Amino acid sequence: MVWESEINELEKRRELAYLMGTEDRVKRHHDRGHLTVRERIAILVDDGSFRERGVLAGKAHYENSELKDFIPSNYVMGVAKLDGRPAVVGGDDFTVRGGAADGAVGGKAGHAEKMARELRIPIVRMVDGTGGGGSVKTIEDIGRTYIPGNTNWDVIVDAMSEIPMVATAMGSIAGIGAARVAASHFSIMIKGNSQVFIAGPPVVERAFGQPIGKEELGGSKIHAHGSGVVDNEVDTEEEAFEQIKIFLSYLPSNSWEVPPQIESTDPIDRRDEELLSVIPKDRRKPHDIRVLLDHILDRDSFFEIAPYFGPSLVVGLARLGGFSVGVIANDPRKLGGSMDGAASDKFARFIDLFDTFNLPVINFVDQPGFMLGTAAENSGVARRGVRALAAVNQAVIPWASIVIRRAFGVAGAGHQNHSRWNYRVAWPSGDWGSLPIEGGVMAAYRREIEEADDPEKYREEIEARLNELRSPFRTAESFNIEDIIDPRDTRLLLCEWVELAYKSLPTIVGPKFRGTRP
Amino acid sequence: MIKTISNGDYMSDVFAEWPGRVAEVHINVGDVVESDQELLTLESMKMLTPITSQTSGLVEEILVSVDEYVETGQLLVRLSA
Repeated sequence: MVWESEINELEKRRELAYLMGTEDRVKRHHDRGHLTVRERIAILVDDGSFRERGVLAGKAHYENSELKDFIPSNYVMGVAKLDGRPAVVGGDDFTVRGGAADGAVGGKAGHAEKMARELRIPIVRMVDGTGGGGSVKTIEDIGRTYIPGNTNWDVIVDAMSEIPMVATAMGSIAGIGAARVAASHFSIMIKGNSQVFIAGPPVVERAFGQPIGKEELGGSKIHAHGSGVVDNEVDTEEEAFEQIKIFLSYLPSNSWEVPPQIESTDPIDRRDEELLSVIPKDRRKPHDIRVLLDHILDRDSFFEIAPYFGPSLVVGLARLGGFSVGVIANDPRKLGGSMDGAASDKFARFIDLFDTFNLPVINFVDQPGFMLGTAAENSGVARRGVRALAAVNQAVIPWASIVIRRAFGVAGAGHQNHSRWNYRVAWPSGDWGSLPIEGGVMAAYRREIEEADDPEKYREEIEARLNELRSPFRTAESFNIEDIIDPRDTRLLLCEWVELAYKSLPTIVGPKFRGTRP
Repeated sequence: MIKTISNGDYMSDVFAEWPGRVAEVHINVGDVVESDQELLTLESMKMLTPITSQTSGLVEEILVSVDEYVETGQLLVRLSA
């Protein structure tokens, strides 16, 4: 066997690569509650499906032409199957130079992104450490400084319109690592054991003279809540792997394909009686939107994303009759359901996601309007809001609106693109207008009310007159609302609509003209 | 809306995450409350929205009263762990 000794060397070099950083580094990584990159990949992917690329890349040390020592490149990647579907999977090896660029060899991370694009399959990026970020050690290695450029950024930007990109923050992530987490369609971080920041506490302390803890600076309480940098927080790395696969299961492998349909065990004619009582008669009492959604969507199919960012808006992936759909709804328990700046950002970003990957959208409308008041104005709700409404009009996927309760104001009007045909029905609890009657009467009839003998009584009389005209059935008489339905029929009607919607999807697949931004 | 750090005890102060009118106060000073328990009801955008505790604790101070208007970020209740 002519090449046997070379095969033995190949095996030996692979074994050296599998050791990653020193044993001591691996132990320290474990002690901090983290899995190594190779352990993460092994748990994430279907058994035996990982076809690694570039295992031989690394820094070798020779003595008398004998390979004495080998430190593998700190990025591990390849193609694998996730629940039977192909994806590129890659991750930083924190045990080698903390994942920094001076431990990288040959641009494997960029190679992985390019590979995913060419193969038209999703990429999962398990970011750790500085995610390939620069180190001042490089200056000595190359004998000079260098102007920075984000290598392969163009690949990631273009890929945002083409393939699903999922990123996880598995440890303390700084610099370009933070960018690689955020430049994705869906991101996850580990509660209490991962942080994302532009720069970590030592750099921040030197810049501002104040010590700060890493959780306080960039933990999940910051980024999966108020800042919106990361979508979901989970308790363990294993949970992160589950969520990666759940997210990808709703999406096609690329934006040229129609989303997959699965066998559904939930009958499409399920007609839950509770739907007739879930909206209170008292207009001020909020309903539980998540309970409501569960009665309509395929049981247990609702995967909520970014629940704590812009909480007045609820977004997620779900199924109806086994077909994947994008879901938008409002939570009246948060900000009364109104759209503030964060909810506007969330609205735009997720409409773009659904539109990019050809998921028909269902908007369960209960919208009192954009948020009022100084905090909202200061957050630029008008600008962020119009961007959200523009996203609605730029979307080309089939769109259904179920007006379950309120639709008021400019935000209320933004429940669909009015220049297209959309599927729309309302429930008998539907209540709508440019302004709510309660606030609008003072605005429209102010002079008459002030000049009246009993202004309070006169105002109430006007409100009573208008309230007589408030029934949604009057709106239906003019075909301004196309249908009012029994809430219990919502599931069946939506399942029928989705099946029709999927027939039109092949005509709208492909990267959308507007381009998807992170 | 980020809850800012207060007394070094990140989770125990309850802030208004949105503006509104205090419609109801459900607790008294000295009560022991659980995580997710509704402490106050705020009427915001004509909806009665629940203000819940993020942690269990003892009600030390209630800084607002019924019919008072509160702003986003305003401190509502102080709890001690």
